[in-house]
Parts: sequence; C-alpha cells; structure tokens
Amino acid sequence: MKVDNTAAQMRKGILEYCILSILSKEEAYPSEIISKLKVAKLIVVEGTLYPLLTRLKNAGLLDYRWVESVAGPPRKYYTLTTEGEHFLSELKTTWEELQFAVDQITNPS
Amino acid sequence: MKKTISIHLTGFVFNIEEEAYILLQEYLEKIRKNLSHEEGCDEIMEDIEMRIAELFQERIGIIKEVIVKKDILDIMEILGDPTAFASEEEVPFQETQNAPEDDKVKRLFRDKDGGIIGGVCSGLGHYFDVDTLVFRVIFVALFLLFGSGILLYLVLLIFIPEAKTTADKLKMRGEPVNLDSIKKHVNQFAESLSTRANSRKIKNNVQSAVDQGLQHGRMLLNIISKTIGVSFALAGFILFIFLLNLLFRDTGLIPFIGENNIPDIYTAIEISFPLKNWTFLIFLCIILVSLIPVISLIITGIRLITKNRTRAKEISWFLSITWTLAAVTLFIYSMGIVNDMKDDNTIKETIILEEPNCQELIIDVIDDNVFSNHFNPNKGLTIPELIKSDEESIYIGLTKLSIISIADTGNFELILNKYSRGKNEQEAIERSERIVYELETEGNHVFLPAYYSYPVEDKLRGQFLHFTLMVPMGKKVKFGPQSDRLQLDKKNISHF
Repeated sequence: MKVDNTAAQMRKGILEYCILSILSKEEAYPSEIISKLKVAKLIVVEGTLYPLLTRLKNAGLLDYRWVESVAGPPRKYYTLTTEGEHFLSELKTTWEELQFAVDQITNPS
Repeated sequence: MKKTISIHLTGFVFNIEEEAYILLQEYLEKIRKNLSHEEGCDEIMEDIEMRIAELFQERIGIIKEVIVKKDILDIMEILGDPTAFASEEEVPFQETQNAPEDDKVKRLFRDKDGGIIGGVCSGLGHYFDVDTLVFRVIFVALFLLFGSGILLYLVLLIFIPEAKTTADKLKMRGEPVNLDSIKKHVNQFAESLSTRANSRKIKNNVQSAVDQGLQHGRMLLNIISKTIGVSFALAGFILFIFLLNLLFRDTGLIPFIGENNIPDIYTAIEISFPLKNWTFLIFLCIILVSLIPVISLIITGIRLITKNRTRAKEISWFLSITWTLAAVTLFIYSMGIVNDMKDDNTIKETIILEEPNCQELIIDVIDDNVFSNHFNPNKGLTIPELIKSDEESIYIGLTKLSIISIADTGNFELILNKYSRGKNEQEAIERSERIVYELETEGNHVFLPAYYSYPVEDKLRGQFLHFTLMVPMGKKVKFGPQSDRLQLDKKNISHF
C-alpha cells in the first residue's frame, strides 16, 4: 500500500467539488481551472481534467460557451448550471460534515 | 536537416517535425484507447486537441516556425500520462497494468551505459530478463572454448543498434514509453551516474579502445580492398595487352596464325565462316567477347581503389548487354560453320604405274616451295601448324602416305583419297574434287608434292588428302632423300 495512491484517491474524490467551487465564483476555461487546481496540488497534469469536465457537462451540472481567443483556437468557457449550483451546495454540506467528522476523529480534544 | 509535416488541429495548421509528429500521434492514440469506454470520447479528444493547438500556438513565434520533439515532450508533461485520462472509477495503477501491449514491446538494444565493451551482454540481459553476468560468462566461455565468442560478439556489436534515446532505453527494458517511465528513468540514470563515476573511467577507456579497434578494422578493410583493387587493375591491364597482341599480332601462341601460316585472325575468320562480307562483324564480336571481361576487371579494380561509384550501374549494364549481343552473334555465325560441315564425302582416284619391269619403286618429294623441304611431320608436326593461305588458295602441308603390300603380282598402284565436308553430300564431293594434288612419275620414280591445296572460297572444311601405295608381292619401295616430308604409315609393310 503506497501513500501516493491513497493520497491520489483522496484528491480525486474532492476534485469534482473543487472544480464546481471554482466555476461557481466565475466562468473559466480549462487552463485557468488547471492553474488554480495546480496551486492546490489537486491535479498535476491537465489531461485528467478534460474527461472530468465532459462528464460533469453531460450530467447537466456544467454548461459552456465558445470564446474567441486572440492567438489560437476558441476556448470553452465553463459555467455552473442551476442544477450544478444545487449539486455544489449539497457537496458543500457533505464536505463540511466530512471535514468536521475527520477533524473529530483525527484530533479528539 | 529534418523533414516536416503539415498537420491541422481543430482548424489550425502547424508545421511539425516528422519525429515529433509520430510521437504526438502515438500519444493521442494512447489517450483515445484509454478513453474508448468513456461516453463523450470524441468530445474529450477534441478538447485535448484544442488544448494542444493552444500550446503549439504558445510555442510558435516569429523565430520558430516548427514544432519539434521537445515541444511534444513538454506538452506530454503538461497533459500527463495517457492513463490519467481514464475515468476516475478505475484505479490508476490497475490501468497501468492493463496498458496496451505495444507499450511493453521489448526490443533488443545494446546497453552502452550498463555494458563494459559495447553493451551487447547487458542488452541481451535486458531482453531476456536475465542477469547480464550470465551472458558475460557465456561469451567468455565461448571465447575460451572455441574462440568463436569474439566473432559472435563482433557480429552482435555490428548488428544490434545502440540504445541512444531514452525511449530506446525503455524499450530495451520492456517498459512502456510514457512520461512517468521516462521521468523515472532519467532520475535513476542521474542517481546511478554518481555511483558509477569511478567504474565509468575504466569503462570509457575500454569503450574508446573498442571504437579505435573498429576504426583500425575499417582501415584494414580499406587497405585490403585497395590491394585487391590494385591487383585487379594490374591483372586486367596485363590480360588486356596480352589479348590485344593475341588478336592483332603474331604471337606464335595460336598455331595456325603466323607469317608462314594464316597471316592473322581476320583471315582465319574469312576462311572459316561461311558468309562473305561479315568477317569484320565477326572479328568485332570476338574482340568484344574477349576484351569486355578484362575491361570489367580493370574497372572493378579502379573502383575499389578510388571508391568512385559514378555511373557504375550504367557502365556495367552497357558492358553486359554488349557482351551478350556479341556472344550471341558469334554463336549464331558459328552455327553456320557447323551447318556447313554436316555431311562429308571421300572421292577416290587410282593411278596405276604402268612400268611392267619395274621391280623397285623410288618415292621422293617434290621441292616444297610453300612450306619447307625440311619439315618432318613424322616428328610431331600437325595440320594446324601446316596450314597456309594466300589470296587464292589454302595449303595444307601434310600428306599422309600408307604403304600396303598386296598378294597380287600386278603393278604398283597409288590410290588417292580426297576428303571434305560440306552442308550436303554434293557440296562435299565438289570440295573434294577441287583439292589439287599433282604428282609426277618418271620411270620408276614417283615424285609427290609435300602439300595439297584448294581454293580459298572453299573455306576450311576438313579437306584432307591421304594416299595409299599398293605394293605387289616381291616388289620393293625405296625412299628418296626428301621423303621425310611425307607422313608415312608403314604398318603393313613386311619387307621394309
């Protein structure tokens, strides 16, 4: 059992929550999302993100619009749908509960 | 100089190096494989391609116009391992194990980093997953036992490519070529560098010695090929001069060519081949057939010396075709000679010496003004040495005389057999009749010519003259002073 794998699994679990949170504040295209996630070390490589975004979009949580770029192909700017917002708030509750529970278990005072 | 390919990603055109293109293609293919069970696979692929286009755009500026391998490697690092694209339900390390087969294909390379001499043993070790030491022991044993180990090693050294790039090195170990493994490999390499710093020094010495050895080997090969070239050219030149002499001058090596025989090969052709006016062509064919191989030898020699291969193919084709044409022509014309000699015939002329009281016949030879009175065919002179031709006639300076004693009591009889070949019997007879042989009789003396002749138009068709002297019982034959000029067959003479 490697710690790397477990850590990766933990990060992956909260990845969707983080993406939705980023998009709830402002619309963004993949590279922006990545740079934010990278700071938090939630993902290392961009490749992981694209399938995830497509899945979330197909699930109706995200929507996108095309924005022309100055130099290069047009970018997909993603936003949260209303359904996505509901989903996010539910996740938020779950996360806070989890955070509290984990805190309780790991730091019993 | 490298080749570039023009590709377009989501409508944008990029120039990309071939090498980089292959790498990118493989990478995209792997991603697609990993995403194949995903619902929006095509859409995801499009997103990824778009991102790659964007990254390309960032890398291309005013100075740089082409996407190179380094760019692709960078992009692969940014986007990550193809396995990372798989859906999150799948556990990543399982995914790695299920990675497509072609990722894991092992290839045989020489591992110069892990080897001592050329990395052959180390490479074999990687390929067969056996400790390098095993192969080293095998090679040393082969060398000690049969001495063949060194030869096998040299062959492998030449034919197994060296693992130069990281991808090669990964393939050599059978590891999948992806970003993770490349990274891992590079780290490992860096670590091992320090630990091997000392042994490397010795190894470098050995390896440079091997490189030098290879260089010396090449030099030796070069010297050998030049030596062969010089000997080819020299031998060819000598043969060329020799053949020229043989074809155009009297060397004394061809028995029937010479001052006292047939003057030259051209005449020999003229009196041998059936058709008139084609002599020059046949002579040319003979020259070509005999000289072209020698010329080829000289050319080969010169090429080996100068290493100049310009128009080698054209020249060798030209020479081969010319040679074949000449040989075929010669063959066809020679068939004409064969056809001209299909049939043969002998005509017989009998001369009765009507000298009733003659008990003793004296045979002598008329002065030979064509050849010489002193030739002695009984001492090994043969027809080819005794042929002569001029503008009118062909002379054969050899007459065969058989002496047979008969149980008769009549007169001496001379039977002349004139023989020739021809394309049919009629022609053979006509040729036989044209053989000229004029003997003279005077009392009990018979004077025979030493040679017979026939018209030059009759060609050399095996014309031959043989005569038999019938000696009746109780009569004697004496030979005059010049009779040695005849070829005598005395087997049936009892009283001699």
